Amino acid sequence: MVKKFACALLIVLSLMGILKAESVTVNAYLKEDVITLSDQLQLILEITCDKQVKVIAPPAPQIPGFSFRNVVGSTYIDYSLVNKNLFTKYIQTFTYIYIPQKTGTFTIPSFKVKVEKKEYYTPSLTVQVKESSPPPQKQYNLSPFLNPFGDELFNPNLIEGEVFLLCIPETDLAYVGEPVIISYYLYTEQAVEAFYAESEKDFEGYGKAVFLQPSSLQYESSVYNSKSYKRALIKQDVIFPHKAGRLQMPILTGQAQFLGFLNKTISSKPCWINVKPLPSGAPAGFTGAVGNFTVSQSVSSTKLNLGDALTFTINISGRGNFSQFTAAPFPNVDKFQVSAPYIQDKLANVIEGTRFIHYTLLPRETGELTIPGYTFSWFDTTSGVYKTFQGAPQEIKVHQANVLSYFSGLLEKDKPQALYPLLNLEYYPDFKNYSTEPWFWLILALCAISLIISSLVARENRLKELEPVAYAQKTAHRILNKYLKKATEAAEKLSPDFYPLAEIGLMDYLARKYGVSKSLPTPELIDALRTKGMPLELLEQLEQFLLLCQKARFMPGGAEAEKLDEALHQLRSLVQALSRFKPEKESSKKNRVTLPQKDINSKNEEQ
Amino acid sequence: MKHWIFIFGLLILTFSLSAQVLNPDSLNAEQAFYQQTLQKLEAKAAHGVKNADLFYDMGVCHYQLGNTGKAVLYFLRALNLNSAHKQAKQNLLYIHNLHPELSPEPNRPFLVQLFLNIYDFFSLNRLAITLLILAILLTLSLHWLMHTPSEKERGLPILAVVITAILFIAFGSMLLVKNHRYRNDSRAVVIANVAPIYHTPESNNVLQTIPEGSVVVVIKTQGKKAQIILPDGTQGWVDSNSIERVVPVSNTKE
Repeated sequence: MVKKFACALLIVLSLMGILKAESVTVNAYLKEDVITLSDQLQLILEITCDKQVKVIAPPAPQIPGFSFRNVVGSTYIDYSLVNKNLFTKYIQTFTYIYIPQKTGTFTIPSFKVKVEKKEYYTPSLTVQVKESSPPPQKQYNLSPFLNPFGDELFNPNLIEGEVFLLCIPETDLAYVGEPVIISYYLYTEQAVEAFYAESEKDFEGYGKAVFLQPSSLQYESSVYNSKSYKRALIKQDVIFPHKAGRLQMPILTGQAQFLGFLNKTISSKPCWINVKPLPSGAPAGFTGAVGNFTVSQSVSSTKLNLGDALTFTINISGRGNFSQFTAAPFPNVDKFQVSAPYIQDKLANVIEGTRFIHYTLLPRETGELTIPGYTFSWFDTTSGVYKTFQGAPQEIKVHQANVLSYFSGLLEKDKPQALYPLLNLEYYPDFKNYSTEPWFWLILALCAISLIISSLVARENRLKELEPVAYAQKTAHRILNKYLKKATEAAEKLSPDFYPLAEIGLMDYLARKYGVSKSLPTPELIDALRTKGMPLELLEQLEQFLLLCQKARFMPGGAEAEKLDEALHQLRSLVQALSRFKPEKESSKKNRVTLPQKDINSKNEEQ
Repeated sequence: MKHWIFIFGLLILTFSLSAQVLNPDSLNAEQAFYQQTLQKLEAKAAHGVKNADLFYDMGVCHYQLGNTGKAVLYFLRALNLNSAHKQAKQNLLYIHNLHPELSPEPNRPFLVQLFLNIYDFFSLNRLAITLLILAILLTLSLHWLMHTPSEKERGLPILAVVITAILFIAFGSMLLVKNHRYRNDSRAVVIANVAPIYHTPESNNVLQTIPEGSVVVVIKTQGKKAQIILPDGTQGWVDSNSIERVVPVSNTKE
């Protein structure tokens, strides 16, 4: 039983272990990605974890075109208050310093970072090195015994006198969440050449961020406890109290360097501030913002087409705990889809500047729609009361999308401020590729067929227009067939109309094909056709049929079945013979005409 | 007694577990919403439904759940079906703006960018419809040309035929290219946290690593490795499991 319990306990504990696994984020970025040859490259590796972990600085990655100089590590804790929940993050940074060797664009390869036996990889980065501008006039003295105070020189040999660190808060009374700048000053009577900050001891009840880190000691005269000192700013931090009461400020420890070789470890004197709780009765839209703010709202467009998006922006500027609050929920709007907020900070430092909160809104329907005003509340530290910004409702006209609106966006510079929201449709039809659908090819085939027909018609029209004789010849067969069909029908009905129809058809055909007059009597017609080169057999056949037709008009019993059949048979054979016969061209016709003439002449001569 | 101890121990652990899991946090509620929505959408996609809006929604859900690689993949799939899908295009740009290390957008000249925007505007089906309209216009222009009497000026119908023919050929070519890309898109997205790149398929020496969400071009696959080209032109081999193709191999005609 105990074994079972132990097993179950083990399983559950391991499950808990998985669930409780800390989220570690490893990121690397450059302080500046475009530098000159005279600058230093600062590659910053940032490891963020939910709990405090010890990470050894990974070996500096080899960067072509750069020589490695140094690595500096620091740790700080970031407290943030989101929706009244306190989140703590332990952030460890390693700053790798490189010196550029040549100009160009270089890629910093991804490198491995081990955190708690797990391996993480940083993203690869790109840096551009440019030629350095001409060096400015040197305004400093490189002598180790430099005179930081101008006229009031330290005695370089003075190694006695007080040296201490003071932590000076800008105020000793603050509200929970109100940012308080604390300054660490080095007070000295000796010639301290440099100060190396080594560590900061933190206490409970606040979050912290670096506000200012001077790169050199800039001394000024100051009086402390009725005694004159020289003092230099070492560092400024911003404290974000999240607990009311008396809070002790971080203790800074570092080494002061004298005469180039003597070091002395000193720590800042303890310092406290009193923190008051925020008054009760926070408004609904309060998300933890404390400070002095000016808030406004704007929309990117008040007229748009259905399908287009608009950006709703809230602008919060001033001084306050920007890292401690987030966007208030967007007011309920049924007629729009609203994206998650995209927060963009343009801060001069960690506590001053402007925050933009962007929402992307997609209208669901057309018409005049209203977006309720945005509500943002904060605690104003100057007046000591909660303040609320209530934006005016925005009227938006949404039109039906037209053809032109489809082309909107072709020229716009794409820089989306927020993620477009879910469409969440009820039905997602399967995609159909129109170009593989039968109707697509049917329409194309119809176009092709119409072109073929049209080209035939156009060709005939052109022939009719440019060569009427050739056209008449071409259409003669059609006409003959047309009349033959009528004559055949008449014969089948035993109608006496057969003969006139057949005669008319033949005369029309001959007139079109050979250009002879329709009203010519039969003998003259035969003569005219003879001159056209028609064979004698065909002429005889034609003459016989035409005579038959003429006789049948006046012959009693001409419409008898047997005779009609015979006549129809004759007509068919005649039509076939005429179809087979192709009139000769003008040149060959001339030859054909001249040849018999020659023959006649020669015959005459012989006679 | 032991039974009671066991039950008591389990109860304590279960309550502590539920406290961990069922934290009534708004962030968790939001995550749960996107998780549920994604499950519904994946069920639809599993039935073989291919729809740009469906892929877009899956991309949004993946992004909200922190899966940048999958989000990029589904936005690309949406754009593969409908290159004019504005929201997918914008969200892809949004991700690239947030993660410039993924595949830096080249700074193109204005006219090139305009041409690419126009090319994207004409999605596969828009191209098909435009091609049909152009085919009809070309047919009408040819009819006009063929039936214009010879004594009349034919410059205008010839111009109409030339313009519509050029457009027809251009759009026809575009349709062919798009159709080919629709079926044989060789792009793939890194879905693993980090994908190490090797010189050769057998090599264990890492050339470099590429982050999740990077878009690469797959040249060929060999066993469990795939040869790829990175956006900067670097070639290398990567584990096939760490990438996913925009058009699954089963859909491609190779």
